[in-house]
Amino acid sequence: MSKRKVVLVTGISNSWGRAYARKIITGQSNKDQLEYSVIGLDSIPPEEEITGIDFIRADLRNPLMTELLQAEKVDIVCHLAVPDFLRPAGSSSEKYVLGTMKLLGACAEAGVRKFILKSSTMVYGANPYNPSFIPEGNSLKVNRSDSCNRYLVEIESFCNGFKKQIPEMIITILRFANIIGPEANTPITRYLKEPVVPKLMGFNPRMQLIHENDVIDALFYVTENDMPGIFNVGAEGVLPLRKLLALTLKIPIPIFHPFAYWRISSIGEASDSLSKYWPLDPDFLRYSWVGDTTKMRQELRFRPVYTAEEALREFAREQRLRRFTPEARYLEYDEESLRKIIERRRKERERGSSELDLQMEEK
Amino acid sequence: MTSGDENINQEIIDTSISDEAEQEKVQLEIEEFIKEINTETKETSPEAFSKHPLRKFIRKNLNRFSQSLENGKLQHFRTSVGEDLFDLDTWKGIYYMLNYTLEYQSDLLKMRLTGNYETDEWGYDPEVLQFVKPLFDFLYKSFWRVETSGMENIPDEGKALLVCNHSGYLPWDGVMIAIAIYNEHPNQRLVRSLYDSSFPAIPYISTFLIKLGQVLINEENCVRLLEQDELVAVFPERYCRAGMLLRDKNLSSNFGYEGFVHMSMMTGAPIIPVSIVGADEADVIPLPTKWFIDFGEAIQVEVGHMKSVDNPEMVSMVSEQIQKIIKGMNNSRLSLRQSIFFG
Repeated sequence: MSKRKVVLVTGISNSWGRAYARKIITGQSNKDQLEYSVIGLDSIPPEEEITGIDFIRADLRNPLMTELLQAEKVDIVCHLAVPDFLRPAGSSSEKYVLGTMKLLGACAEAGVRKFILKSSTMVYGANPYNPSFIPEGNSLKVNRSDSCNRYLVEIESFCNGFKKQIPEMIITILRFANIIGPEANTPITRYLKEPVVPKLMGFNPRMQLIHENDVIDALFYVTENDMPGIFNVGAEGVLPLRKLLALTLKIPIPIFHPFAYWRISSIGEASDSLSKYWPLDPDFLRYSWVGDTTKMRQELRFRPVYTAEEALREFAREQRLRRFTPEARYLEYDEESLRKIIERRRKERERGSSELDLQMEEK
Repeated sequence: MTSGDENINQEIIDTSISDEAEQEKVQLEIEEFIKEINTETKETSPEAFSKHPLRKFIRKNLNRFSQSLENGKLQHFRTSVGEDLFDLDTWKGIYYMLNYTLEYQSDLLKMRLTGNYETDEWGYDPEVLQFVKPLFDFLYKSFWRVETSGMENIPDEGKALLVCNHSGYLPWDGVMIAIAIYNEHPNQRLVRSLYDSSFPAIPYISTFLIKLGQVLINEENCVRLLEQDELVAVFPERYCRAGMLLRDKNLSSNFGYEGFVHMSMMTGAPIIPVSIVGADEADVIPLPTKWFIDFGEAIQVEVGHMKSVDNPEMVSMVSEQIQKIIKGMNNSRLSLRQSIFFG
C-alpha cells in the first residue's frame, strides 16, 4: 500500500484530465495491486463522476498547495489545466499562467519527483522562417499580442527556467501537434467542425496531427517512464491543410491575408482585430509549424498508434455519422452513464448501510 | 515458301482419315521441317515494335517498285485515309479515346477534390509536378534549348549537394536544373532546391514551391534532406547578382551564403558544382537565350577533425574554392559561346 505512487492531476474537470485519470486507473497492467492512485484537482467539479479517484476542489493559486502535496505524498504531478486555446480574455488566462507558477513552486517545495506538462507545438509560433521540422531546441515565439499561443509560451518559458533551478525534479514537457479525434475539443477540431471554414488565399500550410488516444497514451507513457526533457509528439505523416479540408468535406472560403488581420473597430476595444474571431490565429493557417518527431521516436521511444491520415479519416467519419444520428448517439451515452450512476449509488447505499450497521454495533 | 505450307496443310487433312502409323510419319516430317526452318532463321528474332524500323521498312520497300507503281501505292494510301473518315468505326474509335481521356481527367480531379492524393512529409505532390511539367518541358526543350554535360557526375542514389550559380530574381535556373536531372538522369531523381526565406510569405508561390518538392533554405531542413539521401540544390549567391548590369554579372559573384559547406561537412555529402550559362541574359526579361548546364565532378569535403566544422576560416576557404571552380566552368563555357541566342 505504501509503495503506491500518488499522481495529482490538475484540470481533472476538462476532458483531458478525465481521460488521463481513466487511463491511469484502467491502463495499469496489474489490476490487483494498483501502482498508482489518482488525486484530481480542479476549481470546478467534474461533469461526470470518475470512479476510483479522489477529487479535491481547489484553485492552483491556493497558498496551501504545498501542504496538500506534502500531506498526500504526491509523487507525480500531471499539469493538464492548460487550455487548448487561449485568448487573452481577462483573468481566466492569467489564472493558468499564475497557477502554473504557483504549482511549480509548491512542487519544488514539497519535493515532488516528477512534473508533466501538456503543451502544444503552437509555442514555436507560425512564421515564415520556421524550419520544415522544428526541433525542440527552437526558440519559442508569440505570434502577436492577441495571439492564442501567448499564454502557453509564457507557461513553457517559466517551466524551462525552472528546470535549471531545480535539476533533481524530472520535468517532462510534451508538445503535442494538432490534436484531433471524435471527442477532442481543440482549435483544429473546432475549426473542422464548422460547415464553412475561412482559409487564407494562396496559403496551404503543412499540418501535423495526433489522435486524442495517442495523447493520453503519451501522457501515461511518461508517467510510467522517467523521461526528463521536452518532446514534440506528432503522428507519422504531415498533411497539407487543403487535404484536411477536402477529406472532411469542408467548403473553404479563401480570404486575402491582409484582411484577416484587419482591426474591425477602433472605437471600442483597441485590439479588436478580425483575427480574434478565427478559431485559430490566422498565422497558424498561413505558415507551417510542424515539430520534428525524431526525438520522440529515438529518445522517448514512443510510437503513436494512428498515422495522421488515419486520425483524420476517423475524425471525418465520426463527423459524418454525427450529422445523421445525433440523438441516437446521445441516448446511447445517456443510457450508459445512467447505468453507471445507478450502480454507483447502489454500492454507496450498501456500503453506507453496512457502515451504519457497524456504527450501531459499536454503540 | 507459301506453296510448301499449303502442301503440309494438305497432308494434315489427309492424315486425319488414314491410320495412326501414317500419322506418326507425317508428324516426324513436320518436326523435321520445323527444325529446318529454325536452322535457317536462327539469328533473327522478332523485334519489339517501334515506328522507326517500320518507317525504314516502308521506305526500303518503296524503292523496289517502279515510279508509277509507287505513286499508285501512295494514291491508294491517301484515298484509304479519306475513306476512313466516312467509316463509322473510325469515329467510334475517336469517341472511345476522347471518352477515356475525359474520364481519366475527371477521375483525377475528383480524387483531388475529395483529398485522395498523397504528399510526402515535405509537401511534395507528384501529381502537381506532372501537371505543370509540360510547361517546364517546353521551356527546357524549345524555349531555352538547354544543353547539359557531366550528367554522369550526379550519383544514381545517395545524397549530394548541388551548388549552383544564380542569376538573380526568378528561380528559373533552379527549375531548369531540376528538369534536366529529372529528364536526363537514368534514375529520374528529384532535386530539392532550397528557396529563399522571402518566398513563404507570398501567397500561392510558397504553396506552389512546396508542392513541387522545394524546401525553405534552413540548416535544419538541409541536413534533414541530406540525411534522407536526397539531392539538394543550393544557390549561395542569393540575390547579390540581381539588378546588376549584364557586363558586371559575369565578373562578380559572391557567395553570400556559406552554410552549405557546413552542411556538407556535417552530413558527409559530396558537393557537385553546377554552372549555368545563359540564365543571366534571360533573368529580368525572359529572352529565348541558349542555356548550358554543366555538372562538375563531385568534391568530397574532408572532415579530418570535428573542429573544422565550426571553423569559419576553413568554411570560407572551401566556399571560395568551390566558387572558383564554378567560375572556371562558367568561363570555359562562355569562351566557347558565339551567340547568346544560338550558342
